[in-house]
Amino acid sequence: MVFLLYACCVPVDGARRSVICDLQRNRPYLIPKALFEILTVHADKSLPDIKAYYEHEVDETIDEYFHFLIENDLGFWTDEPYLYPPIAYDWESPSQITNAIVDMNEHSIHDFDWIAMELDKVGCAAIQLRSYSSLSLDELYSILRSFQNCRLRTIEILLKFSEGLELAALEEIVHTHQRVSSIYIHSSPYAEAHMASRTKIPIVWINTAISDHSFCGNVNPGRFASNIQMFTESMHYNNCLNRKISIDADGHIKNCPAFGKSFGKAGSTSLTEVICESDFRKWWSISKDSIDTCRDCEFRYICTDCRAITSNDSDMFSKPAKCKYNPYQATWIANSYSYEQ
Amino acid sequence: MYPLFQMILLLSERNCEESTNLVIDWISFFGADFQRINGEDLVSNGLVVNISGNGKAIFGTSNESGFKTSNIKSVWFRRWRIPPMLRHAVLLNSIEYDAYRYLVSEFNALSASFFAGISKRNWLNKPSDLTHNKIFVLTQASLVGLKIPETLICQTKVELRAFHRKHSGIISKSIGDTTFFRSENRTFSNYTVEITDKDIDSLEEHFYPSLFQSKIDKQYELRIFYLDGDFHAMAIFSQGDRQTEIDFRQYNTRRPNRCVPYNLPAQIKNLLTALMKRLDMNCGSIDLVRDKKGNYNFLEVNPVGQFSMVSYPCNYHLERKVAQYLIKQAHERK
Repeated sequence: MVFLLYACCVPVDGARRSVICDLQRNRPYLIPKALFEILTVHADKSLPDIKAYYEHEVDETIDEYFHFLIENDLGFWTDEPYLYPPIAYDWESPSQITNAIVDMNEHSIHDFDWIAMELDKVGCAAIQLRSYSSLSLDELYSILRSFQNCRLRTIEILLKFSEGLELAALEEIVHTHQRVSSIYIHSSPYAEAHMASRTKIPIVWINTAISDHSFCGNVNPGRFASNIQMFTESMHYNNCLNRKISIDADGHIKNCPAFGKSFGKAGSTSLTEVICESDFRKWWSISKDSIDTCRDCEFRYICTDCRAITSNDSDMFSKPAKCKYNPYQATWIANSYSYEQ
Repeated sequence: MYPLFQMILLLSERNCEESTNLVIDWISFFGADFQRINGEDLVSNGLVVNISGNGKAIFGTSNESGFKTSNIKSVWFRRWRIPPMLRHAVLLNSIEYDAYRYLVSEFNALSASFFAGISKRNWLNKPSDLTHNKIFVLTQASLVGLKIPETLICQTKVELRAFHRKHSGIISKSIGDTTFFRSENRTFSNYTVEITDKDIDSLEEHFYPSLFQSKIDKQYELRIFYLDGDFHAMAIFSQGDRQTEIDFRQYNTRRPNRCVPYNLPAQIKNLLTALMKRLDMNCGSIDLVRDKKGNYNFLEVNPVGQFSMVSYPCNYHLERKVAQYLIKQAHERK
């Protein structure tokens, strides 16, 4: 009898410790490197054989490990391990572009009909609309109408506080436009979180003042996503920029609004052409395994990367600057997050 | 791009059918041409059928977004249901109820003539797949050598009690399809339930014909998507959770059942292939239960099952496989 992790519970090794990513229940479980070794190198051994391998010096610890795994429903004992193959870790998508960001400020003059049409051509599934200035309800409705007949599945909205944006009006928006998956209102005098009454879509007011794209690129455990799509995409591609396209507040087409390099202007350069350029695509394949420090981090496949705000501007492979975690010591920099169980 | 005339037809329904949407995403990704027609479209899209003397019934529409049923090279019969808009809150014994039944029968007749006008070749599932009943499928399964739970349909307490005594536990589920019961603010559905002594006590001597099966001492459930000879199996560890141990569809969203890829033994694959051939069905979602002794028990096959619930957790990309199958069929030279 051998112990088998459920195929959706995947162990990932880090420099100082390891983690089991529960891709079904969206939760990482920190484990010592010794347990990682047992679960990988000694996966085909029975419990007595594992204990014997360690010369019976750590029997109790090994029992505790398996107790922990069973207790958290991460795996099971079986005589038939061949019946349960691992999940294939390939990632694929029918969308040439899976997600887009469109930034806006008071000077923006986007043609949303054009944007919607161009995004549809590349099969875009999700869009994030980020406004650093406030928008009236009419403006918001007009933008959403542009996306009404395209293949987008989800629309996330972030916009600046203004008095006219009341809960009831926003609930009406998410009810009318059911692809809206969240509305966040920044620079608000108060902080409040609601769920829209019928659709249960989050409508949230936050205090944080946001004036441009530099607010993004945060790396912290609250943003970990332990699911199969995130995990498999992170193994092979850059989990922020892969198949992403952005239009900044000035209408420049970019990988990310925070990037300097523009590939043309929205309204005149076709997105289909931009996404074929190798200079545009070069970011897509920078997986966590090729990024400094991240490659040694146990959280690398569940943590969103950032290539815009990095520790070394001249190095495409440097660590995200806003990450406060040191995988070599397994410590979070003081006053940042702690993520211990 | 593929030539436009090699068209894939998707027969589906308008709402809550994400599998069709995902397959369309893949068909578009591969640059193939498709047309989706939902059951609702027959009764809401300005349909015009011209039955002329030339031996043909032409399905068209009065607006330009019409159906193009000629040059269809492959068909996916994904789903086809009575359009919900025909459904009104009608009272029994009312003329409205009779009118509703008439509309349903007209819809069925219209659908049948619509299907008849489409080339017979290269269908992935077909309307007649929906007509197999559970009892017929169970008998066919046992004929090919699959183990099935002992099953009884009865309507008296005496017979039910005798059946219950014979087995360590019994369950009940519908003889036909499950359905939804909509009240003003809640929707109910029927699930498989365990029937206890107490349940039997509470029954009248005679009741409506109902189906009972011996309860399987379950190790786990298997949900298998069968696509023209290929098996994609998933094990669902629904035991050890009281909410899901009888029917995993009583989902535990806080702590979902473990769902993992499964290697179906070759012998079971052979039996299932024989069954699908016997049922003349080239695609379907098959439910098996593996008992604690290791036996595989066949429960049912659903031609229009939710295969995305297998595809996503196992990372099987079944929507791409369905799209590729349809495209391949559309380009087969015969």
